[in-house]
Amino acid sequence: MMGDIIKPSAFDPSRFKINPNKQTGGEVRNFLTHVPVRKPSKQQFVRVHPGPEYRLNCAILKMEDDDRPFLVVPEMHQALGEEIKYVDLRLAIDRQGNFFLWPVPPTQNTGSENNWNVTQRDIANKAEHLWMRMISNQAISSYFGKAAEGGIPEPHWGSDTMEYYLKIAFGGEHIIETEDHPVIDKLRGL
Amino acid sequence: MEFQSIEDLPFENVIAIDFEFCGYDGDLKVPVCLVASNLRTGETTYYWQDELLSMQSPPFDVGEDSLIVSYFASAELSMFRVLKWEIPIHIFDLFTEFRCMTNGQRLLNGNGLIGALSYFDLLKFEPHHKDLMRDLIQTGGPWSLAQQADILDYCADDVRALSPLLTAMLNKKPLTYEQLGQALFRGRYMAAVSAMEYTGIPIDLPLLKELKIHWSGIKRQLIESGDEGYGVYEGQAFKIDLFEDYLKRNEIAWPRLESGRLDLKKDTFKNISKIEPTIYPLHQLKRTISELNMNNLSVGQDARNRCLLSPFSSKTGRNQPSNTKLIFGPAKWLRGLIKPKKGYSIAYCDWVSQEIAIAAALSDDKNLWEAYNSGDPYIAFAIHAGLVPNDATKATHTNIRDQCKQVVLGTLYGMTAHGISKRAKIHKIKANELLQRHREAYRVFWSWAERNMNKGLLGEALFTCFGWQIRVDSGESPKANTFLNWPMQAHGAEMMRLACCLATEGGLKICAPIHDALLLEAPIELMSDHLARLKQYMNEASEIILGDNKICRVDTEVFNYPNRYMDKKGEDMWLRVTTILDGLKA
Repeated sequence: MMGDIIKPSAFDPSRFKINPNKQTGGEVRNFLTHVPVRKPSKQQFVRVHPGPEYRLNCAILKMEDDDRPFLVVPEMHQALGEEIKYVDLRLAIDRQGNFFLWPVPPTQNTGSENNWNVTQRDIANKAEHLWMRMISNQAISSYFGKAAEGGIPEPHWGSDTMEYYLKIAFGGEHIIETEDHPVIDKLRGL
Repeated sequence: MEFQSIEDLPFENVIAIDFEFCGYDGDLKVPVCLVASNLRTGETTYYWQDELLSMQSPPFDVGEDSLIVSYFASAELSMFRVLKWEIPIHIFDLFTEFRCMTNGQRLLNGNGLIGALSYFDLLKFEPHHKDLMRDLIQTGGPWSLAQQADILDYCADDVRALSPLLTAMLNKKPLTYEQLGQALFRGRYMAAVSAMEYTGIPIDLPLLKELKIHWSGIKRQLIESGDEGYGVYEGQAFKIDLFEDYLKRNEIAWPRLESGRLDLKKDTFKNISKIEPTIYPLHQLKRTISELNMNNLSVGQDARNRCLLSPFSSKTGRNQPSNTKLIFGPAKWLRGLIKPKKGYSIAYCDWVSQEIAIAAALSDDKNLWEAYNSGDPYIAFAIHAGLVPNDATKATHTNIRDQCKQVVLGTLYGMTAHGISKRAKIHKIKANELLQRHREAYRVFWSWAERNMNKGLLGEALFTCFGWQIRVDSGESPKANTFLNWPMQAHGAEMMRLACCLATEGGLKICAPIHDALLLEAPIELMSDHLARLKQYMNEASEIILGDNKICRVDTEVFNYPNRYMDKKGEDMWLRVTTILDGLKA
């Protein structure tokens, strides 16, 4: 019946101790439902992803009655003319781990550039390595940056691609790819 | 290897037993009869009181080859102790295993024997006339021959139910080798429980009797003096409107119920007392006046406080003894009644910051373990988070340490920034920042804790290292914080169980476990030796749970006769009560 089976002993815990962490499960993946496209707020410490694969030179269009900007494909730039804004879209994250896309003004090859753009770009570049806060200074028409002191740990970027963030930020409806897009009709007064 | 039937179990004898006993609350119980059934041979034997009292040893083998099966084994094993019998080596307690199997589920008929039978659809084995027979047994006899036969039959009913119940449990969930070992470990703890319930807590019985006699007068005078400055009592009644006036006068914010009425729950008073120390004396007074009933304390004629320790009753597997019967339940000042008998000494030994140690060890967060191991996890967090310089100490940075303490402890319970801001008396923004720093300093812990929460909320089982589990089924509405804190509490319970086993088997007299502490009793001249041994057992238990070289520190406080045990928070009230008593006696 019980043959030669060795009895488990209640007196030798090492014989039946298990590793409670070895049990599988409890793994969940965060699904982002919203990735804002905006500058960081003045009280937000942020970091910018330093990888070139996490930036996109593109054009966006902001409509007054919609918080979410539109991503405009190159073929439509001419059709929209002055309405669009060229940006260096960069993946950024705040201290609470919230992702957003920061439309940083790109470097201009010609002509003079306003200080707001220059200083904003400068702060975004610094945020590749430092936790930065961007504050406006109306007196000198520019932003100034504040870098966090006190050894805040590096952000956790995860492994999702820029395409993933773009898809969530602009979805299907916030990309202007053809001339029959309702936004273009609206701008033409149709 | 799996054990899925009684036949599979690796023991020569599998013996189901049940005692009937009688006696008053607080006293050691007197055996009335015993029925034992060998589940392999089917042989059942009956023993009446007079036979039992004349036996030097149990009438069946309790050695290495035998498995003793019962439902709530500590009761049976208490009888072994009363009869001075050898304690069985292997105990399989169907109660602990049923609790383990169903922990987190809502049970229609509770977790007693009938509840378990009902769960497995075995109610045909339900013992007959349970209440009637219990009342008959509790008369204490003498019983007529016919009554003796009825009582033996009733006892045999309980035993008859154990075999189908064990079979059903093994069928539903066959045990692996490890799981059988874990079940036997829980049975082993039930033997330790019987030892502690047998020992009990020494009480100053003459003083308790005097308090009972004069309690009405003491209460009146306590209100007269204690209500000064509050003005919330009318006679012996606590008046809500007067309390509301007091809060307004003193600009104290107080939580309200949905109905708009003030929340007067004990825990609310306790929590507000931590923020507003002026509330604490009123909290003590209120508990003393309205909740304390001296007659509920379960004290035997031998001046020992004994009651069911209710092992495995909470979801975490901790004991849940009655708050009114055990001296550690009511207002803290009453603990002054704990007094070692002449020539004896008692020691209160508790693990220091046990939950932090468990959180650090189980999550394998080296930063958190380093913080615990530094001796001051709160200042260590402050240093790690860059809030204070590396050479900061409790003395140099008291305030920030206090704030960090609330964060370190609060996070183990899922406390929000709002809760921490109230506890630490800091702005919510600051509390948020500290919480953020904690998440950053102890990333590994947080990731582990969040995984546990997710598992629990997904309806998966969480386990301790010795197999105690919780799984919340669909009928319940689990709270995420339950699962956040559960591993710490449940492993704390495992640690305490193991230490109780080691200490009681090592011959030490443990009066009671109190959450993460043990109360030890020894002759004064032996106390230092016994205390050293208990600390060693507690260290050993913690290292087995936490892992190699990870030991949870132990603090001790010794009280030698004629001194009495005293909780610092109850000292003022104790002095007031005993002064009033002296006046009334004069």
